[in-house]
Amino acid sequence: MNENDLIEIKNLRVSFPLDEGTVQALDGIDLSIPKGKVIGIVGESGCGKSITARSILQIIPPPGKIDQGEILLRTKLGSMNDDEHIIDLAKLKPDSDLLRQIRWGEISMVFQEPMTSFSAYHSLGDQIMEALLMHKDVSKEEARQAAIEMLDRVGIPNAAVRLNQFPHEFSGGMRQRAMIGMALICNPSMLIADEPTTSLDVTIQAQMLDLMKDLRRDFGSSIMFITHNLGVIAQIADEVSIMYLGKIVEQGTTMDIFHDQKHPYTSSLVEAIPKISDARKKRLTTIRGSVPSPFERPSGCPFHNRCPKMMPGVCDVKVPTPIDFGNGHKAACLLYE
Amino acid sequence: MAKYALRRFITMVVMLVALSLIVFVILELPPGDFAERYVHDLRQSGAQVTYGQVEYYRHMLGLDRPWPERYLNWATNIVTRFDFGWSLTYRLPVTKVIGDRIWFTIILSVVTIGASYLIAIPLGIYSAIKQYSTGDYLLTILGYLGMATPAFLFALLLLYVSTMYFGTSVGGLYSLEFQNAPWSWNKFIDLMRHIWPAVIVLGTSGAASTLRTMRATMLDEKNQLYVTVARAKGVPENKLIQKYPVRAALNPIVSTIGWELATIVSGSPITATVLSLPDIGPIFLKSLTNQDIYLSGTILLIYSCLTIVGTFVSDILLAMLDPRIRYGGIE
Repeated sequence: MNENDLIEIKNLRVSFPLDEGTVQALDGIDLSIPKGKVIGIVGESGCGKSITARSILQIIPPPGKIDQGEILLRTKLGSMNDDEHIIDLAKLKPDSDLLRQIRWGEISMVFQEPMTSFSAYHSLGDQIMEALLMHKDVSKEEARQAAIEMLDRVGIPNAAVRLNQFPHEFSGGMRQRAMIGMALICNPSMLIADEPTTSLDVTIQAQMLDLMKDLRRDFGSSIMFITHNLGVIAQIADEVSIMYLGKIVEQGTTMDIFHDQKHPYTSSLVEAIPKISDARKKRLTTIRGSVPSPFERPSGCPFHNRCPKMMPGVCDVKVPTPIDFGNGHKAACLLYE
Repeated sequence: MAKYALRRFITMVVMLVALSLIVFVILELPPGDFAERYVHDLRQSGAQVTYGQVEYYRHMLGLDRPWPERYLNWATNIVTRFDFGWSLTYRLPVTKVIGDRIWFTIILSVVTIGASYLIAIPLGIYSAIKQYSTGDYLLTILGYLGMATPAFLFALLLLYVSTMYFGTSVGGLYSLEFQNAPWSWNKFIDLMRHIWPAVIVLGTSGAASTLRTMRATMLDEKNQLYVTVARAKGVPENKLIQKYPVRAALNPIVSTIGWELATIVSGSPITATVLSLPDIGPIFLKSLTNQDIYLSGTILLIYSCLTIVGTFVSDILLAMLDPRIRYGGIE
């Protein structure tokens, strides 16, 4: 594991044994998250972005399970002499004390749906303070003060009063702000943001991104930013991984992904971004077909049946392996083999 | 919250007044009255009765007054003197006729409901958390059996088993020495000792359906995002289940407490008969056929009171449970 990496995921495989058959949600993911960087994870719905994130905290919805692979975390938690050591999260039991300490203590998460992320039956303050009381040795009053400061920090006016209010008294944008506040209250070393702006309108989206950029500067946490919106990625990410059907097909710096893509899928995604300059001249480019059913994975390269550069007899037979283009830029495409 | 409770309380009182009026009017609706009925019975037994006598009885009993006047009298006496009128059949004050029986009925109902919630709610939670486990399947089978078995059949079975195999009768509710004793703490304890067969019989189907409801709502709630968020926060599993999904899943159960109470009180006369429970069911039936208007009116009033009070209690509990209801009620 590289010295600068906070998390390294190696060959992670997650499957869902369902009545209709087994869905291979993650098919061998390799991903590292350096300290203090923002890593964007991009892909269409159902490609395994959220499952990757949830695997880290072991909160995959049942009956999903990790079959294979390692999720290495560099942490001081669970170490005898308070030194940093490396823990394989995939090996920890979901209800083990160490994993519970790591959840929110080291890695916290903001979810896509601010409307359902909070329990309607408990005040916002109760739920935010719960996180702090669970992980830090603080009194109730201190937790309360910290929660008020945090709400203030994420831009909720009149925080001391708002703290006692219930989720239904907040708008979606306000709830997501509170969620981000709750995620940062234990000062975690990594924040997972699972499409945190998708269900918000565009102006609120922009505010959220500004907020996250500020917070990243102030708290220095790594961020794993999951989205299907490349425009958002361009604004916030340092490095990007493109996922397709449970695999990472290309990864590199944001520069590489936008200006020097290697994989045809990445190129198609980038071309599909609407540009104001061509609005009148041509139709929006789309990717042919749709994501295949999870029960019918294509043979060979999973993208071959939608790929504009598909090579018959090669792409539908051979499984591509990632090729290194230098400086961490990798793509798994048979065009380069 | 206090304001909300007060408002609901006032509504409840208004409802009660309206109900007492409706009850009285409904009882007035059938043709004939107690005097006619009484004279008819006298004739049947061979006595010579003239029409003048009907008028005489009617006047004596005050039945010739217009109904609004009689209603007002009845209602005023209830409020000022807790006097529910005179039972024409039993020739006793209504309070005397119902007396012990109503207390017994209420104790039985409250104990039954309490016991069935205490047992069914934890089992429902267990069943949902361990969905598709052996325990869950077992509870599911028991739940369906409990819901599908008629209470009186269950009562018969229990009577049969206890007499055949244990040599004791589960019928009857007091030891001999307390049979006709006035209410006291010792009598209450004695009652608790004998009450359990009745509680089992009356409570089983309610408990079974509570179990199924709890299981279903828990299954809905336990995979909600806010539960996952709590898990991601590192909240221990046991604490998490109690704090989040259980709280939400209690909602439909709490909101039906009102009907539950009245259902059990007015419950099943057949079961009461089988277990020879000193219930008010049989008296109610008799008072209706005799057009014993104050007695039947009082019992009807008690039944509706229980529904209204039960609904009031569940409204208050719901407001305590769910902030959205609390605030909606005030604004």
